[in-house]
Amino acid sequence: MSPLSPNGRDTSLGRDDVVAMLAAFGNREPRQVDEALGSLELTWLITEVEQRYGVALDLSDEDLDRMVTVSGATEVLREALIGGAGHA
Amino acid sequence: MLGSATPHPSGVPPYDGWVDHYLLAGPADEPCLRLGRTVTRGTLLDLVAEQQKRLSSAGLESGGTVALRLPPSLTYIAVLLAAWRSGAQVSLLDHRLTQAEVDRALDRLAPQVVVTADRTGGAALRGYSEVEALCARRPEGRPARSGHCLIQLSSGSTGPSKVIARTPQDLVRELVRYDRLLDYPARGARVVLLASVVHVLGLVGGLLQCLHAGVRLDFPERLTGVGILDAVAVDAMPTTVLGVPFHAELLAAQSDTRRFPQLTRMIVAGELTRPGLPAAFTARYGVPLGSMFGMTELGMLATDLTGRHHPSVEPADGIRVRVQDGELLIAAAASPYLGSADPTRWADGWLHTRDAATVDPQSGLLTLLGRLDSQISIGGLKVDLTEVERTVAALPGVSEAVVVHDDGIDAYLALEGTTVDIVQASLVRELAPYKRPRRLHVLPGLPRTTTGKTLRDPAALRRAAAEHPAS
Repeated sequence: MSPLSPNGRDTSLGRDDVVAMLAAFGNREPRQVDEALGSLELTWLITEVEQRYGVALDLSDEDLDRMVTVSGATEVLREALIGGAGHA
Repeated sequence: MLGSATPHPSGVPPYDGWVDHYLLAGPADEPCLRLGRTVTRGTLLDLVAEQQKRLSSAGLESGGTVALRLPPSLTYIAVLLAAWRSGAQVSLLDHRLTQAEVDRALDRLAPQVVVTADRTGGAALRGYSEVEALCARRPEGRPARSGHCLIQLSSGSTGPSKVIARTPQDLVRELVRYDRLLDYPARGARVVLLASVVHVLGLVGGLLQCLHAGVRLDFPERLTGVGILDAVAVDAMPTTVLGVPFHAELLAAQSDTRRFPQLTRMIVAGELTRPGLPAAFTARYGVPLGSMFGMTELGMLATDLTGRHHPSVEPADGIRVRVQDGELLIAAAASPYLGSADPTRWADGWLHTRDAATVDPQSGLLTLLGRLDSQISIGGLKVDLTEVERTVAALPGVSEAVVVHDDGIDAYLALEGTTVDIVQASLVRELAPYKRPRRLHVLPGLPRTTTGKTLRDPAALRRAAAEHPAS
């Protein structure tokens, strides 16, 4: 079963979802997505997540500092979606 | 009449009163800015006057020098206008620069006063910050030695970054060029600004022109796709979005089902637009994606605001261009650079842009083809790969380094007595985030040509790195 946020939204988000969203930036294949994330890719990813989950993510500088890799970004976004750092 | 009665130390009189005449004039109750809340001209004038007092208390006089290191904010706008109104020369430093980069810039520019924010951070993905200004006097600073009001550092293709200087007259001439663009926003309209207000597009095309033309300038709270569209939706006034091509990519991919009848167009500048993007943007929003071409040195130079000339642009009124050996040259009466003259950058009334271009002899339309040097653009921010490479190569334990742009900035290194983690940590101190290599590849030695020169071909470097996957 997918985890749900306090407002009842489906908050499941895996590494593959993150890679797929990043691949849409520049029409790349998922295998072309690098582990290291640039600032533009990060903005793109957060935009995609906000759109898909219908939330506005209020991420701190510490959160953003951890989002320099696909793994780090997946972790932060998952926490934000479940923990309610995002708000509708 | 504004401006000081005291003689200007440079001997060049400042363009007295230009801030009030060209930027601040207008009804006191007219909304001119929106950063979370709407700010009228009267309120802005009060804020500017307040900052003028603070700058004066810090010892700034007409003909003095001040460096601003502030994030986009109402404070930044008020301090900038206050400093200009005081007749000072202002250097703009991007708030994302590291302390090491700022220290180098201050050594070079020698401002008498430095204005910083009372707190750092919190600015990522935000369209503006709420900060207070801290003014610090630098006793070793020097007064202005020219009549320039605006100083910016730019990535040079070789050697240290160039110091670019502009006079009030030069800025006013650029505002007049904007005035003559039929499709640029005019009084009664508003602009949603996504581009940095510290760099020429956001500064002159956004902030100064909007103040000058009576156009309300809105800063989105958040620079994500939804955040930008929220800023568009906040008001029914005819709205132009001003940003870099990345922002248009972001918006074109939005599946937000809202309609935006107030959206007139989006205008992008700062780098070339991907073929297909204007069509995708128009398909999504039903309005044109226009583009502009400009340089920090000279401001806005050519436009295609309706998108009908894409990918070409039409030189703005009074701008003369020609192409020599494939390079675009722009007529400029004086060198825009301070310090030692470099005849390869400006000579005989022509500025060498280092941009490859063609000019259609019939229509006069200009088509930009890309850079002829090592400068690249990351989301509209200029990065000189030579500067990055020199910084990497100067780190302790780095014996060789080559930096190339290969779908991101890649650094290939040979190390002696250090580790890639130490190099990585050092770069965080030395280079602003947008300049840092995304990937560091450590090799036993860099591949070389038969004549011993370091290879710079990204494919060859990739192959060499693939042979040493442990790094």
